[in-house]
Amino acid sequence: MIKIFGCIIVFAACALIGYFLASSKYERVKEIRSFIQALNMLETEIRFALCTLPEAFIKISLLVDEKTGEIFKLASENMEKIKTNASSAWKSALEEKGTSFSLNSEDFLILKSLGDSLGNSDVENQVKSIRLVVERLKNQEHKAEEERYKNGKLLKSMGVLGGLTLVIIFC
Amino acid sequence: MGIDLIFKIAAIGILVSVLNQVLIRAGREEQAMLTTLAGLIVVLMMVIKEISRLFETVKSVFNL
Repeated sequence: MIKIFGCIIVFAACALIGYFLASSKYERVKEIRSFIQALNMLETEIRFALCTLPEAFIKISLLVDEKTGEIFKLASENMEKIKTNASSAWKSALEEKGTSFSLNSEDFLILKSLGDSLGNSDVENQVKSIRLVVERLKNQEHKAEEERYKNGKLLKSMGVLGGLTLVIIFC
Repeated sequence: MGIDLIFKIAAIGILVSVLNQVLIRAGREEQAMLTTLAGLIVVLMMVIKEISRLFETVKSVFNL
């Protein structure tokens, strides 16, 4: 009886490991998409609304989904309270919240490169650099989609099958 | 020589072939080959005790 229970637990653990590893790939695609959306909104704000960066960030953080919005909120708070300039506020917000994302280090490099031009030049140049970052992120999104397609299913099935194998060999 | 051993070996065989196919479809042929070999080794290890008992029995039957 206890043996069967133990086998079920081992199998469930292996299957969950597989799902967990696969889900980080899914999450990465979703997060890149939400960043692209947020950056498009930022471009619109900068070009047409002419409000300050902290206000723009707060507006965006309310419109995109939770996790991405938190980075924008934190960056805006850094700018208001600690009075750092835009690029270091953006970079430090990325570094603080970065670990809770399932993004690649490449993605983070691209996002950090946005910080170099924020608040440092006039509207046209900022819009151009935001466009550039959005293009690179779209590239990454394609690659992440491919990777998710190739590896996501594989990891899930490997988790389940590996769990079954362990159960059969050892029980 | 219980019937359980036969069932276990059959189940491992099925699982290894499914794993093989999944890995080949995902494009990872070297890893598919590795899992096949690993399954083979595991089954051999399970069976080797019975083989040695078989040899003992044969030796005792023919008084060698």
